[in-house]
Amino acid sequence: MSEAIETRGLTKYYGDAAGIVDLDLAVEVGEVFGFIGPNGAGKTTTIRLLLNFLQPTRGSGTVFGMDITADSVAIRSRVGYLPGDLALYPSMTGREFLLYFSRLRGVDTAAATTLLADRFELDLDRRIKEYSKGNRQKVGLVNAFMHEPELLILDEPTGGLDPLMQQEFATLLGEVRAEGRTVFLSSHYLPEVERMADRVGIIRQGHLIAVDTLDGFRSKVQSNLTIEFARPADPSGFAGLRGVMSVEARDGGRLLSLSVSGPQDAVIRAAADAGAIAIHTDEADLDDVFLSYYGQGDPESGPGGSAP
Amino acid sequence: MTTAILVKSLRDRRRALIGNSLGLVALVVWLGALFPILRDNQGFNDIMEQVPPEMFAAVGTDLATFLTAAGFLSAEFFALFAPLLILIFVISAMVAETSTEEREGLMDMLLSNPVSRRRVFLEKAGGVAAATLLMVAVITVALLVANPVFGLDLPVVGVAAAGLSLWLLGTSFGAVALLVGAFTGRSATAGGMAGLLALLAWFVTSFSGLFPWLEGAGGLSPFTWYREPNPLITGFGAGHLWLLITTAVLLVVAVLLFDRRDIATERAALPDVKVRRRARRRARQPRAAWLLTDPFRKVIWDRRRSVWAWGGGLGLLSLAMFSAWPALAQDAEALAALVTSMPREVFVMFGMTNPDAIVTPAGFVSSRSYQSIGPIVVIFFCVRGVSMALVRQEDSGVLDLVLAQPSSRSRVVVSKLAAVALSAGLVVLIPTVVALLADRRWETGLGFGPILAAGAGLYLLGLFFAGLALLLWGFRGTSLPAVRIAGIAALATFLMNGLGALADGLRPIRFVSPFYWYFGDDPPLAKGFEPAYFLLLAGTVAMAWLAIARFRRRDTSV
Repeated sequence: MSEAIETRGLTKYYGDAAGIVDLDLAVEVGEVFGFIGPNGAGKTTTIRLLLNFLQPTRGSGTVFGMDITADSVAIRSRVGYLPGDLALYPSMTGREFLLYFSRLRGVDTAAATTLLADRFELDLDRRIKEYSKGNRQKVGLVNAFMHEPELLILDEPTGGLDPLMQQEFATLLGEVRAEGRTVFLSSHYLPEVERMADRVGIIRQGHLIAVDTLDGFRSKVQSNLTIEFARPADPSGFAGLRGVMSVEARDGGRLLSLSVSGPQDAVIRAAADAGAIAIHTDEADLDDVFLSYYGQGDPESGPGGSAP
Repeated sequence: MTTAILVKSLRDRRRALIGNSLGLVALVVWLGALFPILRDNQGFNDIMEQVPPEMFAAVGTDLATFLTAAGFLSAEFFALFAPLLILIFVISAMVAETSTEEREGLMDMLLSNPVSRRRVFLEKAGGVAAATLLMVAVITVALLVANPVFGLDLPVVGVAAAGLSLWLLGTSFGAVALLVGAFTGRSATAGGMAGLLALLAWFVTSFSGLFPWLEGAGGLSPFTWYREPNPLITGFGAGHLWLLITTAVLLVVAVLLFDRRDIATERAALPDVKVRRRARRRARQPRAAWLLTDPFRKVIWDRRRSVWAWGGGLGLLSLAMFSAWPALAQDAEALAALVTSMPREVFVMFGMTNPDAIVTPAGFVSSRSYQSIGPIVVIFFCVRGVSMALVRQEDSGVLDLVLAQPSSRSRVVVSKLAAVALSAGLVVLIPTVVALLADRRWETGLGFGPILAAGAGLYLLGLFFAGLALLLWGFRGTSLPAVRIAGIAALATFLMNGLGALADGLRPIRFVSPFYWYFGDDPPLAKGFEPAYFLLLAGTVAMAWLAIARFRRRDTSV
């Protein structure tokens, strides 16, 4: 079984409101899977289904080959979880809380806890109600990582962390990946996902609308090229080239505006042959690709907007 | 397998456990000491003979039994007070452990560990049940110790059986709260339903003899299983078994329901159709929007329900006191005999330095409405008002949001205080109006002036302790438990007033007690507006002024 997480037609309705619909998800062992989408798209619903906090309306799922409803306890012994809306016992100290939770796991995590707390510069001996938002988040992170789980399910993990700590978190995640452990990273903070994820799934209105590697998404980045020519060029010569989505001639053919997705080598070669004197590039970034999937429209028929 | 959840659930009860145990033990000792005195008192026996048998039936006894230690303790302790405290404790603890934690998202956290839902649920319930058992054990031991000390002659088996009965009653209604919580995941519903059912069961058992249409229902009430036949006299019986079975069945169903249900948190709440419909309605127009325009009106809006609850309660109390007077007045001689034969210290301890006054309408009504229950309610309301409007808002960070608006700090605090004062005024006004009407109806002849003055004094007494809470908050913010300290100060100064009157050497400690400024040596209803009331007013104003002056320059905390 090489899938850490696999769902088949997983569906959750709240009354008559859809949480997620027919979700087919596959996260492989050893990868960092970014799970992104706008607020209310169904990210948290998916996670809470995986942990058996919610009962699926229909469909099923497995984690490490074990059924998410029948074998939940066994699953949870191999998972570390950080909720997006972290709740802690306010009158406990950080250390007490982590001790309590390690006892519930039946694992001695004292050494790992100290190590992680040091890395995150977290003082464990203050009461949780006295912690700032960032420090509370650190307690949640230590709790998720302390028993060295095979799968980490993290919902908005860097909320409230300063850039230095976000860097530390990224390093930690890198180590986890190097050890061959799996991370399911839910977020709507795109740079976080771009920095850490191997593959990304995009969810909108309860539907998984795109799954690809980061490189795959990058190849969908569209660039707008404006090519200047010494003498008027023939736009039809460019229309058929690889990656060219549209061509528009201006100034009697002295300026061509092209929108290109993926590698631009064919365009550049053709432009040189046709006597180009300058190429101006206006490159869209990965965020724009992701955002194009967020747009309105029917989620069943793919992304709205202009993305392929 | 550890029992970490059970241990935590038990540990988190320790404060409530200690407080409740102390209160219950004090009550046991007080009743144990009182019984021999009352039993040998002719006046008391005479009065008890006048009491209608239905009254005794309501507390599960009759005249003959009531005059034995077992009957007396059953009626005065096991019939109402002990179950009341135990039920409040068990139900609120069960709800706090389950539905409340679920709302706050803590159930998500717990269940992310490799523990089954069933285990989490049962361990949490077990912790509360164990804490309740400890509390009951403390009461049982107190009774066993009081038994020889006061010569009560209680059967030891009976004491154990009554203790067990009390525990089983508590756990059965605790299981109701668990069941409702397991089904709905809503803490208010769980606590409310369990409390309501307990109240209903108590009513059915207590009054099934009084109303023919209730006769058949008595056997179905857990309160009947709990106290009929009286376990303190008859020992263990079928009632114990019924309670045990009820608890077990409720618990099993609760676990099965909880096992299959979606866990709801505040944010990931289940958006069922009803909730969404309600949300749409609210989005259109908040009810009473005109009350949500500034801090003053907002506080009034927040207090609107408790004003009616507490003010109405005090009004009913006044009504009961006035209406009871004519019947008592007929037996004034026996009452006077009872009062004179009781040790004077019993009254003085509670601030009634002139016990003979109890035989007058002014003293009789004052003793409850203005000298014991009345002040407790009004002080509680006022201090809680300060807590809700300022202390808790600072703690939760809402105060920062309010202060971010373009109005000065002192303006915000003053308008909030004015609202607390106004709502407290309404709480006092309701029983005052009741008293004015009742005074005419039952011709007690107290008069307009004294009733108004007694109400004003009560009001000022409440505001004084609100001022104290405000002062602590103004200077120390949320780092001190201002509300708890103000409550303790109220209790301490109340006792100081009593103690100071007991012994001449202690007399000076009376003079610093706000209760002395209010009570003096005569019932509030027997006098007009006292100069000492100005002390209460001046003290309150001074504390409020200091608090605001300090708060204007203080850091707020979150």
